[in-house]
Amino acid sequence: MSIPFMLLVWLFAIALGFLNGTWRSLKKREAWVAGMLLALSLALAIGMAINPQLPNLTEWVEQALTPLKPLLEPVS
Amino acid sequence: MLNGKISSFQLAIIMFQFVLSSTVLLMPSITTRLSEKDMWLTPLIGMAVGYLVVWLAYQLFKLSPEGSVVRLMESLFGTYLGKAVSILFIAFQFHIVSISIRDYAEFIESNFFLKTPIVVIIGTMLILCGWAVRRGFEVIARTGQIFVPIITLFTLLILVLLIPELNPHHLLPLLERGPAPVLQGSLVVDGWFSQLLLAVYILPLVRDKNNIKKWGFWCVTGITFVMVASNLAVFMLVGESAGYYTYPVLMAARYIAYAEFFEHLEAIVMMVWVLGEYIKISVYYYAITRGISDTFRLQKPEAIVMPVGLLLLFVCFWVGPDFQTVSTFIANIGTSYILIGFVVFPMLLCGLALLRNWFKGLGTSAK
Repeated sequence: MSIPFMLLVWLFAIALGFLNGTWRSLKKREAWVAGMLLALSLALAIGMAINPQLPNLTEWVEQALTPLKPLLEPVS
Repeated sequence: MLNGKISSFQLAIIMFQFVLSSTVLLMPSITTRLSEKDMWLTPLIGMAVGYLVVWLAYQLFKLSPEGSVVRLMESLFGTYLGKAVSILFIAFQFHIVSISIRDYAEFIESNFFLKTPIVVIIGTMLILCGWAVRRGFEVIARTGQIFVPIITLFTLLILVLLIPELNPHHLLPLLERGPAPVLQGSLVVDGWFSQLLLAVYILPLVRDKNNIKKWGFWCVTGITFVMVASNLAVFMLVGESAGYYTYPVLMAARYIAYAEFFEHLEAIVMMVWVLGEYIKISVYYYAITRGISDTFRLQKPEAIVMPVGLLLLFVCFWVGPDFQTVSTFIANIGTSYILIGFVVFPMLLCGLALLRNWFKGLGTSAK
């Protein structure tokens, strides 16, 4: 995702937050969980903006499950 | 808002499309690479896992306090470790659904909307699914009830219209290379069937709980029928070349031409794919939101629907740098990964819960 699109997504989210003010009446726990999810999204967006070749989730799983790879290699 | 009540029939319809949405397009190619001529047999073997997963989801639901699988994890591992396990399971679902969304968006972008940025395709779908999740599962169930018969009818229509082009000789000889390649291919099918486990998050909403298993088993049978039909049609049409296409059903739809005006039916394939993916993504989105709200004991789960959607959008781009990485993952390691998450882990949970109940029973009878 390019940086202009990331900015557009965040602007859209912020505008939505202002227009729909239901988050103002949230209890502490709900606000904390929603805030954590937004913080994770922001961290991921910044990470991908700084380094588009950020090590990805699929690579990590592939590395962790490498011993299982021969299971689905075509039988010759 | 995230609640609403549905019937077990509605659940079966949703889960039917939930599994079939990407299967019909992707599976023929992957199973051909592994099982070649016998690829059409793979769903018939793989369906056993489908029945097992339906049974497993029902058992987990029955064993869970208040029907919540998160509470079961907490009661088995303790509050904090249980929450950690639940978060890991949610992260796993995040990964799987992000791969599905990315796959859907790449398909739409590379075949139909060539100039539309992929973020727009993903974003619009997530807004739609987020809205449906916020309104409650009943909305997803009712849209499923309207659209699934249309999707199924059009899928079968494409397969029926292909009949004049089919060559049954492509299928022979049967089991030429022995049963091993068929078993390998059926593992891939198992990967798709295993996703039925997600029903465990929806089962608390079902009104007629006595019919859950019956409709669940019918759902698996229906899925198998459509899988076998699409595999047979694709293989009888192009033979072993099916393994070289990413979306063999789309290619097959391009073969349909009647009286020089009834053609270009690939638009129907797109419609089927978009509607099917809407249901699939909505079910995952709901399960993730429900999982997080149960883990953190939220009273207003709708508060996290938008943040979950935003995180999903970014994870969709984090799952892989390009489509090649994602599709290679789906065809190989992805199967083992999904089977570990949706079959091995729930079996472990179920086994532990049964063992605990058995020991509890021993303790009570000893007193």
